[in-house]
Amino acid sequence: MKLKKAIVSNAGLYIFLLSLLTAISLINSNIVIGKILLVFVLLLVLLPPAFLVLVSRYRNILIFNVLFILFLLGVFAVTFRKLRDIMPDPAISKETSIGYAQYFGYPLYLDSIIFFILILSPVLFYTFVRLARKNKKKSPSNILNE
Amino acid sequence: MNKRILKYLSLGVLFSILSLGNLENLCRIYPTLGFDNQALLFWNYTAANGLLPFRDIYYPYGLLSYYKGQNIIAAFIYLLISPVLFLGIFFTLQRVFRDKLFAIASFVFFFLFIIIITGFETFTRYGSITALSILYAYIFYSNKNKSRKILLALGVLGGIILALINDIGIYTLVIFVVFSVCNKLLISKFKLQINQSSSVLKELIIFIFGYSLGLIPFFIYLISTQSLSDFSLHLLSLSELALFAKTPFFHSIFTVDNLFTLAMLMTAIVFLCYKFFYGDKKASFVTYLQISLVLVLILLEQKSIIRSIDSQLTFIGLLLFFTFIYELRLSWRKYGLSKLFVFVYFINISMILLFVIGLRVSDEFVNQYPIPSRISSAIKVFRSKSCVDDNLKVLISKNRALPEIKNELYNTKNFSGKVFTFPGEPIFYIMLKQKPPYYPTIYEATPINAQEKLITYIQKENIDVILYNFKTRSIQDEVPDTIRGRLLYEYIRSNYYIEKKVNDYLIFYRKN
Repeated sequence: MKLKKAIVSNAGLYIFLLSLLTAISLINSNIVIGKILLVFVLLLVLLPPAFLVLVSRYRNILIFNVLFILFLLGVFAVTFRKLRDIMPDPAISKETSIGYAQYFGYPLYLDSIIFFILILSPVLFYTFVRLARKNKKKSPSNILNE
Repeated sequence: MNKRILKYLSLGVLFSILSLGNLENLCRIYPTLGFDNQALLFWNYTAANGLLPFRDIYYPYGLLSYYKGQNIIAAFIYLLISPVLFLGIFFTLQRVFRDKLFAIASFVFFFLFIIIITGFETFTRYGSITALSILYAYIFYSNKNKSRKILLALGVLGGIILALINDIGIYTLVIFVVFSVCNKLLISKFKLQINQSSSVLKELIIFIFGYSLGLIPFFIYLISTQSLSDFSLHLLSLSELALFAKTPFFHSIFTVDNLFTLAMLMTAIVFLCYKFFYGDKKASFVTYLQISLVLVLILLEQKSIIRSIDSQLTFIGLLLFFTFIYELRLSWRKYGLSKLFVFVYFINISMILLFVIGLRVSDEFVNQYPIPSRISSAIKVFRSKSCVDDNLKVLISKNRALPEIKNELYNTKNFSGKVFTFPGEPIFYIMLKQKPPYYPTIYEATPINAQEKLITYIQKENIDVILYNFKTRSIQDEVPDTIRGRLLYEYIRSNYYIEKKVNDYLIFYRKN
């Protein structure tokens, strides 16, 4: 109840701030100021959804899921060059077409593999958490407690 | 019932008027001599001269795009697509928000987004597959509507679309198959029973049967124009296209358009997984809508992974964004936040997306505003079939080298009026009004068998003169044209000698 009152009382201020920053961003012509404003505007925009995540029952799972995705992104960013060098270059022969990948030696399927790992990572994460919870429920100590 | 029909008709007329800017796309005036512009003008020229796609000319976009500037029926169908898509999107938004204010505001924002950011051309193409996917979402959500007749009709529609817009027709089939399987997995919570598997199979069989029926008119067209084998070869060559067209995806991922679309996609996937594992037991229409948009985005991102189309997919990310606004509104109700708060929040984000974050503005934007003079000019050009000539006048006036080279060619002894250009400047085929080669440039003719086809063309047409633009090292992707088109280049060097240099061109003459 207290939380609800606090939200409703601050909602007006929040929306005023957001509208003000948006309006300034629209009329601003300076590139540097525009980029700084954009950062603040985006932070403000993300505040309500972030709040909803934090008050949700399964917030830990959501937060760890996002962190996991960011972790994967970081790993791929750091190891991208190594992965590119490890994966085989497209073969060239008398009969093959020569486009960018063949000429510069860029692995054809690296991008697709990384893309699918990233988009499947939430599915794998949630499945892993679900299975871990099921196993925890079935563990001997839990059965004894029951 | 009459009120409903009147409402649909009124909206249809309104959206048709709002889409009048699309008339410009029946004949675009290309401002520069870039290779892409030349190829597009080349295809206008071949369509105007009765050359058939697949048999006489390589054309990857489908019959609708090829004939829209020449044939009144194709033009009518092409112009009808945008208003129909807008109608579909409007009803979808109405269904999602169930609130007039949000439905109208989100549609107005969507329309402005299409005009300013996406463009009608892209919206017609990728909006078609998006709208079909949304239709599948509706069909799968309301299980009771999933009768055999409807599945058959969807299949027929998919087959017809293949003829009109080739790649979208193929995507239609893929998305239906994947959606059908996903739907059953969702309903059964990934514990698919045998009777459910057989039900999926029945759906797929009916759809594919309908798809085959929809292909019949196209099949008849291909047989009557003796293009069936050429079309089959064209389909088979698509896999090779993916190999030579591939450019790095993650190198160019940090565009605002890419970041926006991928952020919406990842958010949707995380949210859908969360809903599936921890949310309500029965999936709502919005969930099905999100699934349909995610499937379309994943499929089209594969195309973008091959060759970036980042700015063309942002409107699909926008539709996902609308579903998030709906979900946020539902959640905020619990905390006593008013409809006005959510609405102002939504308007602010709309302004930010349209004007602040820096999404790439469509090239067509300047020309799309349907003022009466533009509309009448577009209709006049279509009726007089003067698209190619009008473009030629503009390009020649901006590039004085072109008529100089034409004069030089005619001053050459025994000039037959035909040339071949390397790496590919189709403007010369248009200027000389000659029968063109199968491929407009060496980029489309990258495969070895395509280069062999060009060599056969040079031999059959007895081309004595080759125009070689030596200033252009690479037509696309920084791959040297002499490497990309190595077979053709070797043929030219072996059989032709350099006669003279005119501006940026070497004129090669056939050796005796």
